[in-house]
Amino acid sequence: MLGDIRPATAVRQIARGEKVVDLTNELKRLTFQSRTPEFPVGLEHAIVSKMDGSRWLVSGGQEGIDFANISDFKRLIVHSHGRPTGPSRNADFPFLINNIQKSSFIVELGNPKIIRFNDNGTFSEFRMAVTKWLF
Amino acid sequence: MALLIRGKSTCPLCGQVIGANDEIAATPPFLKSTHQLAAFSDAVFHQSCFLASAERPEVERLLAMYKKKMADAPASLEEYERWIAEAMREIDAS
Repeated sequence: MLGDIRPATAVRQIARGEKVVDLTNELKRLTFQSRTPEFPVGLEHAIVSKMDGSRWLVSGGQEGIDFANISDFKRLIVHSHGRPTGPSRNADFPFLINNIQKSSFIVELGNPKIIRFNDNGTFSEFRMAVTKWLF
Repeated sequence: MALLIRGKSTCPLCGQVIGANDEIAATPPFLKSTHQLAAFSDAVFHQSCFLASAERPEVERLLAMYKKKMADAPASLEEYERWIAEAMREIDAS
């Protein structure tokens, strides 16, 4: 395999009422702190929901996450990027279509705003204070 | 970083589904969406499709440049968030 893609691994369950700004900062910190000499970009982190309504913070590889191992996967709520690039046309937008999901969010290291991207190929950026993506 | 659901996600180069046991090639989000090679950033391909693509040498050159810069990134997140835009200027202009 060329590139480090790993199955989603649970880091912790998200409790109801956790603040968006705290979770955003945690995603950034975990992505940044996972950098090593072998994986200098850091590992992808995401928050997903399951069919039972629970929400989980998960980690993947430097080049990406494979969610196929989560049998009751429902929705990708947010995932991290190691640098500001915007949503990708060949992974982020197609993921929404494949998962029959209207929208999701991206947290980027180096970008103070959070990105909402949509299944119609559009996206926009918000300040975290006005973003409600968990509940 | 790229999002994948094996058995559902498709290879952007051939349009076919990436199966459970297919060999893959993947890239992190290292190019802005306006870059001419943005289609190769933050994406997952069949390994054979990627290896056969005409853009592969340039993609690999830019990816190596990106990882080299990331290896020299500041140790603190606060410094990194100030450093990253300037550090990526050369890659963004390539």
